[in-house]
Amino acid sequence: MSDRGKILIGLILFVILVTYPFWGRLVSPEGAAAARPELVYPDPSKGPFCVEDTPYMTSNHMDLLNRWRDDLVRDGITEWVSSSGKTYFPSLTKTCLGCHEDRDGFCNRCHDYANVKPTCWECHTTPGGGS
Amino acid sequence: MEKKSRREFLRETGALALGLGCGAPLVATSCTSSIRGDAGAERKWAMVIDVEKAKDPAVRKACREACERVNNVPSIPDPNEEIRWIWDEKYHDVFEDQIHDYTPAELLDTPVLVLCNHCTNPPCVRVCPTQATWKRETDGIIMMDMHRCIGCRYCMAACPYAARSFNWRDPRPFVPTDADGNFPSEFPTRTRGVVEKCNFCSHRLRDGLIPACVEAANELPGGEGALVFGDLMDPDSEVSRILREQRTISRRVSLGTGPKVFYIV
Repeated sequence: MSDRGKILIGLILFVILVTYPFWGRLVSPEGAAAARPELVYPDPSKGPFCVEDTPYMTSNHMDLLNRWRDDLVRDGITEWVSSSGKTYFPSLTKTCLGCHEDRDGFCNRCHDYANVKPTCWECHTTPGGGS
Repeated sequence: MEKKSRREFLRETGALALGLGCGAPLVATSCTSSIRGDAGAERKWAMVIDVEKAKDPAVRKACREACERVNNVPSIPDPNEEIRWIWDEKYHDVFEDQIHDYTPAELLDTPVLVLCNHCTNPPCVRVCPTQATWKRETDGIIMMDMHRCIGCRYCMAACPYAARSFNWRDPRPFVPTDADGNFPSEFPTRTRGVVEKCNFCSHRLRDGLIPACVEAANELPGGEGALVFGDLMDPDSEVSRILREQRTISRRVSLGTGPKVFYIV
């Protein structure tokens, strides 16, 4: 049993490597969670809040946009009523970007942070026709 | 009543079931065929093009440019890759089933404006596997949903008027921009791999405007009435009146597609 030492070292190395993802961020300065991105919010004069409240929009804006898309493109529905009872025109360019003028500072900055690559801007423009 | 044997009863029951099974699809077809066509539509948009008035190149140019501006249509020089919403064809190509040996040569070469015919029975819609193109039941416009188009080009093969174009490449570099880099319109550009065509400016109709080509032609001195747009369901509309009072033709009517773009020749 002269290999006991080697086997033990091998096992210890194995355990260290396998569990690294769980404790690595505690010891590595680079492993700390990335800070939330600083977003550029619209001018408060545009209105006190978005079409729905911020937590809802943060987690559900993509579903809402898909619904707007189907409503307007497929069914020709031009009015969408928010939970507060206000009516909006379901348009990414006209309604969303009408307030959120800084697309790079708002949409893109968060999408980069979350590493998602929506294809909206391959076709849709900013108000006035900007790419 | 004659008493049937068990064997006879079973045979006749089987024959009856078979008969019903084979007949049902026929019955179903005859019932659903009525939903094709335009039953139940509130509006039926149509266009009348006066070939004589649209002979002036300035009129056709104004139509094309207005369309490209409003819909961000790219100008791709390569004819194999060009995107066409409204364009010119020679009379003999547009009405190839109307010409004969004695049609005047001058007429054969007359340029005619062509665009999507927004058919009553659109073959493109029948073949689309994703329903990315469909006929809007409320007004008969053949719509495109770029989100759904998978670029199979089946619709292009089905369209007898070659009214559809495929984006072989990203069209954005070919859409002319202004000094600030803005596209001419807020209408979404398209992307590589989707099929596009004229949509009768459905986004303008939504705002109560008429299609850009019609507006441009009528604003041009001498172009008044070259293109007329209106509702076929309204007997008092300009298109209804023209179709009632003048001789008009449309393209390849024998195919049964029911074009809604008409021509005064």
